Amino acid sequence: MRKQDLIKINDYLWEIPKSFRSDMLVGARFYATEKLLEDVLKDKSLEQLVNLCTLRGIKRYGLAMPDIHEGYASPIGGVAGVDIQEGIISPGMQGYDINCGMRILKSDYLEQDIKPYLSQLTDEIYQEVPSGLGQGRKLKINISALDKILEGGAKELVNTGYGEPEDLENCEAQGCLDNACASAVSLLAKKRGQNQVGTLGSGNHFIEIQRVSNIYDNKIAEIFGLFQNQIVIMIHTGSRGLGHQVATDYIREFLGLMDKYQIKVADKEFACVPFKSSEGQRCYEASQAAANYAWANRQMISYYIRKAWNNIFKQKRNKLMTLYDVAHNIIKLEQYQIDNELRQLAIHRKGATRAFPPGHPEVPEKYRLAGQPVLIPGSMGSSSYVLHGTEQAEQSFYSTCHGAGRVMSRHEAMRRISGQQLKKQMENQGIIIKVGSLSDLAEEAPFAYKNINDVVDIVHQAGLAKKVTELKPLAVIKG
Amino acid sequence: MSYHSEFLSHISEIKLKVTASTKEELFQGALAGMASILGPKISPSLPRIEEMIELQSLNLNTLLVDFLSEILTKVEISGIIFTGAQINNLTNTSLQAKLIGFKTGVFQTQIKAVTHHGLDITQDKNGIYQVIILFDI
Repeated sequence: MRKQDLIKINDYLWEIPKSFRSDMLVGARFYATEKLLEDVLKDKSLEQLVNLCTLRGIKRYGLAMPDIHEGYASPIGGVAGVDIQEGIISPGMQGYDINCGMRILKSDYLEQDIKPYLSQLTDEIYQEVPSGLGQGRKLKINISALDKILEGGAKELVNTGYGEPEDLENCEAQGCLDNACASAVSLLAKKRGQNQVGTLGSGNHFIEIQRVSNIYDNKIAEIFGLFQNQIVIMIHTGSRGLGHQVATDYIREFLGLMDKYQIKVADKEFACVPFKSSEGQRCYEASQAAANYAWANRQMISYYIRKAWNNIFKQKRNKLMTLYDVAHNIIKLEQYQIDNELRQLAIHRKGATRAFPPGHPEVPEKYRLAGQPVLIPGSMGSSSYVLHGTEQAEQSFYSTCHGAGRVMSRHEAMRRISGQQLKKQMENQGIIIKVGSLSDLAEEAPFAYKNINDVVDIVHQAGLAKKVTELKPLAVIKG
Repeated sequence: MSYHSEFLSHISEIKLKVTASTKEELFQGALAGMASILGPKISPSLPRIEEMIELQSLNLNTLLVDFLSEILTKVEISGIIFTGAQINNLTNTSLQAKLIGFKTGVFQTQIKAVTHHGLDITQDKNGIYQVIILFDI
């Protein structure tokens, strides 16, 4: 892909016309500045975006957010709106980590209130929440209890005492998708998930203790209950091995079914079947169940963080309340106007955060005037952001970025800095690091990612979501 | 055993290239490569574990992904890292093998999945097999 293949729509939006490749069913659009475009053109992400535009039933445009980078099948940051009457369902388009997402817990404490306890609190959270591969919980839940989680999501855990009703109110889909069906999930997937409810995992998953460092919109910050120097805790994880196995199972099955449905894909990882087929429906039910598992996982992690918090502060008056919880790898049914007709689309988001506007019925009532809180993590050591949804984001199927986006391979990052050096650098900036694997830490070096401020500025300027607050890390907990 | 493996650059995932003289060795090299990503902390005192595996698949490419995926699932469920395999029977659509592994419980890098992305087993004019595998991590 060359720059001359692109049409510049405006300072933040580019188009690859449908005529670029004969198998494209729609054109492609992605959000970037001239500066970020240089990084985008260095890898194969735009070729992957073109591949996405060949999916049967795709409407409007194949889209990519400003944190776009090369993955497999769709680029990371890809969004496809597929008409469910004529189109497909593709588990690979969603990715293996089903409902990988973000949750923020907010406190009433200021930075100065917790500073003397920060190190102790970080240690306590690290002890409570297992992280890293193989670090499951000691207690395995039985299959029938797991089935309840698959169909009940975070709701099942809150109803059994592992959270507050507000946790559900302030969660996408109230933490439970109704179409989930436990019987569509294989026994192997369930076995992988038996001891992983309440575990962080490794890679780029993390818990961060942060402070609100900047407020851009006082009115909306007030609606979200956010204020200057407030302490919040950000959680990034997903459906762990259970979700990975669900995606593996259905991609394997669909590869053998594409001849039957006369479907061809540009990348085998897009393996898909018609959404309305019996196989497609079963995949959708399993995918929803895995999404519920992920919400339950973040709910259980919240429970353990609260336990750690109470162990340190030993007072109930200062509760950790959920600001919001939102997925960035998911398939959801949403309605959009397509050719002057209201159509139901299966929105496939892979590394893209949903961002519903003010007044949307799925936005919690208390946030409805402001729009959905949009939670965007930065790379390690850099800022994260809370934004709010806008009506303008209809152009992106109400989707926005999910992070900074890599610009360097993990191997290259590890070649340039050791985990020990990076830990020291972070500590010199006053950030506490608690990590299971120092070599994994080096992979997440800030220079391996785009500048989160640039990425979020594109989102803000393009109107996909608007900045509310900036968050600065005080402590990082990783696998 | 005659195979060679090396890691290629990829911006977000891990890309492994394996070459081998036979299909069996290609599968063994891919398994060894995956084990090296998982980075097991194997103590010499750990008891050796053997387990049989039988698979059927659509073609040789999907068979390799299924083989590695099946082992990855076993790794996560049982905490056993499989470092080698004695392949008893391998066709383009089926495999029967004895896996050799060690119970460790804790690994260095999490592999979410073995992908089909761009995976194509080829054989050059000298009979050498080659494959590039992308692991989602």
